[in-house]
Amino acid sequence: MNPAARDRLLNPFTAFEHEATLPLLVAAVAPLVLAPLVLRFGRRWVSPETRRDAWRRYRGWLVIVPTMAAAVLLGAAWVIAGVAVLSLLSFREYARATGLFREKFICYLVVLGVGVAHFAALDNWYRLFVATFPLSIACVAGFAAAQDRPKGYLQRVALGMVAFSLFGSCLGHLSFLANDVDYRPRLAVVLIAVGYWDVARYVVGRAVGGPKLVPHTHPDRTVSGAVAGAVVVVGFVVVAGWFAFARTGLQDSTRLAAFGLLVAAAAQFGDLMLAAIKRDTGVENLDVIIPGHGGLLDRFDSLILVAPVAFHVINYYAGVGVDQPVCIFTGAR
Amino acid sequence: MDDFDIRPAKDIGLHTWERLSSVRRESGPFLTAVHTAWALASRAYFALWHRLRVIGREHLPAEPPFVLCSNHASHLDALALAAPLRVDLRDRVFALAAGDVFFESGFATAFAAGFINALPVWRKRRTPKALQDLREKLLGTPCGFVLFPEGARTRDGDLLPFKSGIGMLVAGTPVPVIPCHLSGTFEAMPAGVRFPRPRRITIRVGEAVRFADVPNDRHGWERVVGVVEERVRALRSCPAAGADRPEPKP
Repeated sequence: MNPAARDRLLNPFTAFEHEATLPLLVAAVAPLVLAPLVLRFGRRWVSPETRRDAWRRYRGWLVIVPTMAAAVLLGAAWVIAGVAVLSLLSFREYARATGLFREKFICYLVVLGVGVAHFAALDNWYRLFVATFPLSIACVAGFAAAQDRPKGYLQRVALGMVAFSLFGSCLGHLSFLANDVDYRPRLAVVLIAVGYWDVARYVVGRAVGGPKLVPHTHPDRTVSGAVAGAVVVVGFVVVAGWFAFARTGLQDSTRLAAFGLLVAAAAQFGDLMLAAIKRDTGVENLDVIIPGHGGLLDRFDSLILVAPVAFHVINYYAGVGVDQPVCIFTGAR
Repeated sequence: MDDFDIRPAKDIGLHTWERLSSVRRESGPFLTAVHTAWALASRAYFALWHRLRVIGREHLPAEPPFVLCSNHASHLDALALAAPLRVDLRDRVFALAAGDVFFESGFATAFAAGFINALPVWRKRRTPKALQDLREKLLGTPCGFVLFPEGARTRDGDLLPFKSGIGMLVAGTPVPVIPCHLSGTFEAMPAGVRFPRPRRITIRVGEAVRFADVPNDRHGWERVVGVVEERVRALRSCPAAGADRPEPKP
């Protein structure tokens, strides 16, 4: 393996070489320090039920933030492995909610596709990564037809395709972002922006209320929460992105604002997408793995659609892994 | 399974350990892979180590629902009874196992649910609701149960009196009950022995019995138990049984 690739994948001692990494780590941890103070001193303005819910969510964040920070700081291999595990566990929750888990063969194909997509990211083999999407879809459609069970074919195949699109392809883009030498601050901007969006949406939506965003899909989502989330994300991305994307085509406040707006919109759509899936299947919480949040998908839903948006914007303006060795393990060209 | 419904898993919302020891448990792709690997491994093990012989293989069910009922002499029994079943059925065949033995610790639960595909029956806190849940699973999934109506392993090789649980499961339903008799498992691994000895095991499979016209009440349950016990005893003394039993002393 090339020393540059080994450093990027496995060397945690280069974590703070980029000047933006440390401030971004502080930005990630700061809400964990401030939230208990806000909850304690603001108790007179918050109902006991909301306070209990906020504490439950806070305890969930106490596990999520250090885990994600550790993966990003330790090396790109940890990021890719972590996203791969997240993809598989999210797929598991989705399959159990929709009933796709009873279609074992389609599930194995989706898992295989997810594995190949993340391997392509680890190998920095972009052509394979791109090819994984149509090939996985073709495999699901083709092999499902070969099972000679035409009744319910469209439902089974559609669920399999959506599964691969969301957990293999979309989340795979998050893994592929780790192929840049400056992946730490770039990923941190995306992950923290989504986290801030979620907190802002929750706090403002609860405090201000107002008109519902999509009352049939999710009665808790408000226009005020969506606007607040977008404002916070745009503000954060403009400020943090200026340093994280220094000396690239994205170091431009207008572009960064547009990038922030796209991230906020994708996060909102991801959140609503999962709400629609849950409403359609009649499932309230997909799992009970994270206290106060539910399943992994309940927590990371807003990240799923953000990942491809962020990847393509960053790739367009700043490039991803431009000087990095490609096909690290396979040697393919 | 020909159709497809968007229908969530029945065990959604349960913690991992609750899920593994729940009657509502449904296997996903991972558990299915484990069950299949285990089925192939146990089939090879019984063929090589115990020279498993099945008499009356044609009576083994092809599709669920069904209940396999047998005498109980060893921890090997559930594995031996499941071994000759079709591998693709293994996900839908559940061994009803003593909860206080197989589901007491995390390791035991993972083994029982992950490999044997067992469901717990709590002997000391068994309730009509628990049996009703099993009955609904049997009919609703549909699935197969491997069941030992004696409720415990024999200590001397003889049959113990059958309990009424089997009646509560199948009385008034069209579910076929397949009586079976296991010989050799007592010699291979009786209660108190930790490692199985290489003794030949024979399964005798009888014709299916149905109890659709039997009322689902105490009298009906007793009738079911009586018929099943009689069939299992008859299998024990059927002519083919003599082949692997020790010759009676003059």
